[in-house]
Amino acid sequence: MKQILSVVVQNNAGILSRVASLLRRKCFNIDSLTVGRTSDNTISRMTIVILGDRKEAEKVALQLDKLIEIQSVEIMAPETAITREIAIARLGIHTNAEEKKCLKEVDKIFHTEIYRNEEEVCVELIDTAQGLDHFLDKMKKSDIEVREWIRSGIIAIKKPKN
Amino acid sequence: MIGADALLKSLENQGVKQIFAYPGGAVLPIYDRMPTYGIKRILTRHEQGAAFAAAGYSRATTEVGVCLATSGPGATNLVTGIADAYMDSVPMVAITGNVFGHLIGTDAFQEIDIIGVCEPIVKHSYFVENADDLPRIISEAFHLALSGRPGPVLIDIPKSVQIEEVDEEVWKNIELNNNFEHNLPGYDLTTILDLSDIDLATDIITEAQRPVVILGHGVCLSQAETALKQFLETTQIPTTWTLHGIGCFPYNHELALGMLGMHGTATANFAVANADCIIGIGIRFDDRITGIPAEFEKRKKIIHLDIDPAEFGKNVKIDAKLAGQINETLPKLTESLSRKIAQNRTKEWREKLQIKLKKWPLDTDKDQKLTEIGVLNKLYKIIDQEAIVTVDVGQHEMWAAQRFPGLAARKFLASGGLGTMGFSLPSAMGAAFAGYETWSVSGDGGIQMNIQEFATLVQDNIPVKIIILNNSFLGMVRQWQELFYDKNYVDTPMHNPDFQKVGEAYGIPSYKATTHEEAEMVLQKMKKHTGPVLCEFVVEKEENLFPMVPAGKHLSETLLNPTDKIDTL
Ligand SMILES: Cc1ncc(C[n+]2csc(CCOP(=O)(O)OP(=O)(O)O)c2C)c(N)n1
Repeated sequence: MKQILSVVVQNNAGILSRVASLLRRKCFNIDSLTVGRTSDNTISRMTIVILGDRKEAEKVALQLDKLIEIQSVEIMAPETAITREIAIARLGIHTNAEEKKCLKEVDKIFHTEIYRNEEEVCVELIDTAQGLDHFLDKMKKSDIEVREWIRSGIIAIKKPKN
Repeated sequence: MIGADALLKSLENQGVKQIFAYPGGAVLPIYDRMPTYGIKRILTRHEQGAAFAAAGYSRATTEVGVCLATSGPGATNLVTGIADAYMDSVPMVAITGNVFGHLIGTDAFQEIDIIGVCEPIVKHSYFVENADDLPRIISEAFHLALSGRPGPVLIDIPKSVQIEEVDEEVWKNIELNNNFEHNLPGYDLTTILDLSDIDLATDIITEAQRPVVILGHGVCLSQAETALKQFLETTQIPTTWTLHGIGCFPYNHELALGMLGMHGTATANFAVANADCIIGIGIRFDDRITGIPAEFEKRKKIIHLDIDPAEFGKNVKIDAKLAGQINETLPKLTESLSRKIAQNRTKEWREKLQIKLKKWPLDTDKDQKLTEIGVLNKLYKIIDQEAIVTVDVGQHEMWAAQRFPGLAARKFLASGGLGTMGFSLPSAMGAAFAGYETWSVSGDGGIQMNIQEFATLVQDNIPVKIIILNNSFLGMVRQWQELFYDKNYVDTPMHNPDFQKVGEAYGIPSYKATTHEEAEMVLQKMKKHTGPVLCEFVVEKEENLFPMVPAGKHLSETLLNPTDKIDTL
């Protein structure tokens, strides 16, 4: 099971290393970790996805909270969070008619082309992790030649209350 | 005024009286200014000695000890001492110089990323980029080291920052000892207190038939001795303690069971193994007291009081938790219990434990020949009520821990978490600055790990009384080899120097004792002596330490001697 932790940190040099070192030495299993600036320039937000149950997430949260530069740690329940991840893939272009058709399909469905030359097209997709899994899976199963893909790791924000 | 001034004046402002330090290129600007300030320098003979001395001072006083070393090897030599302070939650500030700012990251001569090296073993660390930040950083460092769950803080200062001019306004504020606003938005101690489980804890304790209290370092650190006494008077629950809990509770009280753990008393281990309720106060359920955690938690409810919420459920499953300073949470629990608890409910249990206490006394010294137990028993008889005793790691440490329960809180100093040989002498050196009679007890192995500090004792006339228990072996390891490796004594027999002569060579009045009579006489002489003094006690070579829980076994498997186990319930 994946657990999402949203961590507010002071924007100090070395904080990423402190967090990474802690997660390693306590043997927590990280699925992804993203860090970036926020609307407040004194703080950054880390979104850490760990593999484990809720109990494990609580342990991680308590340990993280001990780091002086961490201001808050929140375990995000899926139903209260908006999560997004970005994927970029390089796809080969061939003269093969089947494939061309597929590419067009991809393009049509997702409107995702971000770069193209004679040989390759790059597509991006922003979605939930599940959405991306689904997309990449679909491409793999099609006649498209997926040359390489990368994913960013999840960022999450709390859903505004109704 | 330069960065070095800002550092030293800020330390003075924190009330630092002495600093345990060793010079080198990357701290020369600081050394150059030191004589101008009212901080005494103690020149140790190894940076590890400086770190242990600083921690020894902290442990004995609950003030913050300070050590300082140069970059590179100076800094790495501090590491063991910092790790030790981290494991035992000791407030300490370690200061290192580093190479010039423009050389950082170039693998310059004696450049080490000490912040990186120490990442897992500090409460926090600072790499100082501007001299003007120093007063705030020093103030934050002392606050962090001492408050909440204490721990070591490292401050790494490039040489360029040490010589950088300090802004006039900033210097004025340092001179006036004005407060520098902290920038610690993530460090809020007010949110820790959590008493939401208090009713649950009260119910569990009220219903328990065979409750046991385990006390630990947290009681000493939060100076909760009085709160504890009230709790025990109200609840009448039998009590044991960890290595660092020694002195928190009167050992001769009828509820006292002695120390718990791998070499705890048979009764304490029996009590915890068979308890249906454990109240852990300021402890972290470390493997040396739990044996096998899964066995430990079986058939019992566990209540945990601690300042560090990350400790709850870390090692054993708990049923109720109270978060906060022990001297805040414990009185609340006492109050809640006082309305409910019936003291005679555990009478049968208490009586049973009293019988066990009589049945399983600690080994006494029956030997004609001089033994470690013999020397320690004699020492215990003559030490001051307020004396500090530091120990190294090994058999002597555990014999002393078993036999010195009457010391006051913060007087029995041991490297509990890290278990570092070489701890005793330098930590005694620092602890001696607390102003009490100070004894350092070591084995022939451990004393040689920091024996160079004899010179420091003499140079600054630090009145440490050094006891070397020479059994010609790395005794603790030898015992394991005897019991579990068929007496295959690989690298545990020690070829030792004549310690009396070594002491004399350094200029320390030194003795040697080989019999009971000599031992008694010399101890008296040592007691009266005012400066550093030493005695090598030549003791039995293959004395074994019991009780003992073999590694990987449960407390119920405690051995009273090589063949006999403690009773089952
Ligand atoms: C720095 C360090 N190295 C190794 C050990 C492992 N160790 C634990 S006890 C011990 C033997 C200690 O012998 P000694 O100092 O003579 O004391 P004794 O056990 O004989 O009382 C050793 C080697 C340790 N604890 N610390």
